[in-house]
Amino acid sequence: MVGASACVGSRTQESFENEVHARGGGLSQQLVLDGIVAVAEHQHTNPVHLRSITVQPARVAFEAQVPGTTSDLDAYTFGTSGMYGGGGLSGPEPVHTNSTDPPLEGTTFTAHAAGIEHFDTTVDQALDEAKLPGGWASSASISRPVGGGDPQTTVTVTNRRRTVTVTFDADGSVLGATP
Amino acid sequence: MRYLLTRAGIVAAALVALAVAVIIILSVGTVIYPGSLRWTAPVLCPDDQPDAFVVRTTVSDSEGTSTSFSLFCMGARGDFSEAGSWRPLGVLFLYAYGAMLLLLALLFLPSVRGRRKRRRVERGIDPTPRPFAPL
Repeated sequence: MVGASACVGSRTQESFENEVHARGGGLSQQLVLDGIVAVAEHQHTNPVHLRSITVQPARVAFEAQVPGTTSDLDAYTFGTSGMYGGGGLSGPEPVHTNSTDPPLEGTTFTAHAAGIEHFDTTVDQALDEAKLPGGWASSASISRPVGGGDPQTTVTVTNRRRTVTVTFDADGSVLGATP
Repeated sequence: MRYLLTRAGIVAAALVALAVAVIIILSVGTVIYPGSLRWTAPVLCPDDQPDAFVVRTTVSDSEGTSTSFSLFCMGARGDFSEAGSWRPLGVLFLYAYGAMLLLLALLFLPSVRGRRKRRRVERGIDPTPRPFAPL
């Protein structure tokens, strides 16, 4: 519906985003799970092997290993809003890799190994840990650390003045916070 | 048969005219009160994102300024999904069309039934049950 009009009962985008921030930022475990299911259905593979997950409000991006290959990755995005990055699954887009990149075997992980089932709890914990008045979780990323090891979740918490990054291990324990 | 076809045609034309009237009323109504899109949230929003917001986006270009409205559904954590504008408009149309049909049925059905009954009585086929025969 387009047209010059009255605005009764509607909000500006800024006011809507303020509401999202007031409720914690809008990062959603369910969105991540739905996105992984969508990628799995597209790839006809289960479980999906991922190199990274990047979560934003209403949008999640994945780098997923191409089934049947040992060094190829595809990028996907999954979202629930056209205004915020697109609805549904987008991709695959080939990811450019270098011969110097470490082998995928040591950098990919499954959703279960990353502890996605307690992602919401991790975000809540990050908000508590950051101790930023009026703060919200603006983004989160999951990947395995350089040199190997279990996947880690990094949550970025921000308010109008500062940003704090809180890192968790796959069990949801805090590894550290970087102001 | 021809009589029935004519009547069916009249009913179909009336239903189409009603649909056009509802579309016109909705077009004006949603421009005056875009918040009405929120009424479709019980149908369009997921159970875990029950709070509805109508978000307006204003775009200015060389042809002028235009404003669009979109329905968003939000959960307790601020997680949200966009229902858009066409789907809410479609649901609003169904609401309004159904309400109009119901209203018309309530207004006209009694008179139609009354007229039919009068005709039957005039033809000597009174359908009113008579539990006791008059003495």
